[in-house]
Amino acid sequence: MPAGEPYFAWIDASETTFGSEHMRWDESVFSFTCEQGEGDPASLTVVVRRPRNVSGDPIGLLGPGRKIWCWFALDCGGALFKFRGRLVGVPTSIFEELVTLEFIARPFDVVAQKNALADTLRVLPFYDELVIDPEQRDDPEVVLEGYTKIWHYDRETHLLTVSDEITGEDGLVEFDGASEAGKVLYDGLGLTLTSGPLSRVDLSAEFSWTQQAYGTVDLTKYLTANWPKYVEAHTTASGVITSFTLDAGSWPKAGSGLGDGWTVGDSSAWDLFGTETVTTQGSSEMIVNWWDGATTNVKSSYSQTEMRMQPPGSLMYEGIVTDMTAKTTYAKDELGSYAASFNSTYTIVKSVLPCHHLAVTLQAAYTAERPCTEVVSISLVADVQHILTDPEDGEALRLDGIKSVNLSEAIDGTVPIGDPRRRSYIATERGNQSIEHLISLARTHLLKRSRVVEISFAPKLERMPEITLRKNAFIIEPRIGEATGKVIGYTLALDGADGRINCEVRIGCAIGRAGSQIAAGGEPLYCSVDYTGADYQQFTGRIVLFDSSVGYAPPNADPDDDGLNFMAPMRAEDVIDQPLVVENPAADQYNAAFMGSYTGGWQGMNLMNDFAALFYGPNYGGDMLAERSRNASDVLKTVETKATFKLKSMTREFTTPYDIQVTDVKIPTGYNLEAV
Amino acid sequence: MGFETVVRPAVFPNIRPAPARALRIEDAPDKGIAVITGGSNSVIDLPYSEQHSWSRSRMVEVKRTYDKARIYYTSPDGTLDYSQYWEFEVLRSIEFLENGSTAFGQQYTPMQDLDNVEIIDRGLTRKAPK
Repeated sequence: MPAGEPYFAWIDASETTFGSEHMRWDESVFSFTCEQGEGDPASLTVVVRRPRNVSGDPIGLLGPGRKIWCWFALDCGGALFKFRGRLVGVPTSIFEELVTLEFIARPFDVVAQKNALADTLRVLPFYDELVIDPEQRDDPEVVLEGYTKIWHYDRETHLLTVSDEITGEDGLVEFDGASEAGKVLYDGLGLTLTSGPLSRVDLSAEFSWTQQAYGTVDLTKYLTANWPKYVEAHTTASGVITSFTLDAGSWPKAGSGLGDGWTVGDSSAWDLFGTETVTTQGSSEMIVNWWDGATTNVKSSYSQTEMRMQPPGSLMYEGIVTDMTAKTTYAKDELGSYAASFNSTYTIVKSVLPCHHLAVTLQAAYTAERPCTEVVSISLVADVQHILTDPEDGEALRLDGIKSVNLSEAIDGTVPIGDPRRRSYIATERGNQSIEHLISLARTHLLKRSRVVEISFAPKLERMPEITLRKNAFIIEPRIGEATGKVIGYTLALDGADGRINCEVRIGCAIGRAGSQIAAGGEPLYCSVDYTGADYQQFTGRIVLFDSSVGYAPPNADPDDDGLNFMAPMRAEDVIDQPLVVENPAADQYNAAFMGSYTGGWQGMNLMNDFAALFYGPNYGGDMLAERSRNASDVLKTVETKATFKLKSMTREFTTPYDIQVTDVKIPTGYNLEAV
Repeated sequence: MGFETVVRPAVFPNIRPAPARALRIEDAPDKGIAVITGGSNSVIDLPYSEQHSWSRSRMVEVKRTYDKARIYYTSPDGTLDYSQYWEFEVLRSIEFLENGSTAFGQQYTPMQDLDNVEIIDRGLTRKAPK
């Protein structure tokens, strides 16, 4: 067949393989244009003579039962340029002699193919589901975010693949300018700069999780050790606290609140001495019978109340005589008056304001729900040729709004952060993968935007069957020199007016400076790498390669939090935020109640108001006693022991910035602008 | 100073997870304070008391019963001189009044006749003068 002969065959959808039987002329092709751009399926626009039946009547192109698929082929002089497509849209100029048909090489099952392909692309670090809204994870378009790839539709098989935008997967088409086939036509050569290259990408991402933990911390030793000691004479036992007001009943009970996210897990308080009193009583009686039959009856009795165990350091009040009577009763008989009986009573009341000595325990229970965020900043710079006089004028892109899901919530049964007690995510192995994903995002933008030079040229027809959008092309042409670029589009067209076939290939050339990055082992912070391996410890100056184009320094965990490490046993000292402060400890209370620090009194009574008035009262002793008791209570109310401390919040939020150190991104040199 | 252009491309604007809730303000120092207080105390009185008493009764004689006897003089040589004698009242019992009630006091053995003692009368009574 002669070169330039077009074939057009209406086919069934099942005829997916081109064969010699398809080299026919179901329609008379007047002109055609077949083209494909990056990311789009190939399209064919064919102008044919209006189809007619044997009797010469027009055939309805849209009639039911008509085939809508076609194989189109163009003999390029050695190989066929083939296209299989489906009729789309309404043919134009349907009543004219020439009818325009439009076909597209888009698979019917494009959605299924894209979904299946997307599933294979959901791999770290190019795809990180943690920064994708769960509702969007099934969207196949999202998966390419971290790839320098774009969808590719094969114009013959309709197989959907992805193709790298810098380096094609299916090899290199060379136009060496020397061989006959390697030459391109003089006309049709063009070079344009699409835009300035992207010189830098500034990226900020937030990784958030809820730091969750629960457990207990024994505060007993901390509280008792830091509780103010009472006067030395009344040194309290180890682990015992003292107060004149705080008693065992007022010690925090299990379940009561201790602060933000803290409750009392378990507690006990036992008053070592108590306030129990015992009363002893005794009496005696003696009867004297005199010679004449007379008797004398002598009786004595006493009652004494004491504390069973008087707490050391208690405030002792001197005794107040509340009752002291003596009475002689006289009788009168025939002999006259005589002393018939005598009765005396004496009551003195000492008082004690007992000091509570409490043997206490306190287990603080925590339930941590602390929102933590790590803000990762990456500034990735492309090693590209500058097309502006001042490199600083290069364009920068800022990627904001990248946020993770809650890393402590399971995704498909796996908790991203691993252990929700962690203080840092980004320093974990999984966190490093997220960093690499961010690098891939930024790198993708830099690489895509590095394809600044677009060259279009007209190859000879015989080369067109080689052209696909999964290939790179290399061209040497005296006017532009050498260039290597990804095929980003092609056009093959026949103008029926003059019978000329026009071929055009467009390539996009990156303007990097080439080269590759080198990994650096860094300095281990714990021990030699030989001992534990590279994944066990932290390093300084370590560079891990994302790929040969870019590397980064894995960050060491440096959380800007309150230092709580839920993954290790916690002591009281670890969880104390504000230390124990005891207002009005026992010594102060003692002074207030006894020494008159507050009342200026004596024996617990206000001299001016109480003592003088009561001393001369009718019930002087009892009144003084009552007044002393009331006064002591009043004074204690003003000097109530109050212990305060603050435990580190279990609901506090923390944000830690991480500035990830990265290398420049090495970008291939597809075209050397600096040599032009 | 360059004239760097910062652009904000709308790349997949809706694929990110919902933004985290707004950060709260820093932990307030006065928030979450644990307070241990309360309780009470009162003075415990420790009384000591004693009582002493005595009472006695006094007997008042209201009536006595007695015998009357005569004791003769005995000379140094042992002979009795019946012309010289002493008469005595020998108490037999006393009746008392104790707190308005009659009570009996001591009962004594009656005096016996002897050579120099002559019981001249027995069972005599005499009430106490008012």
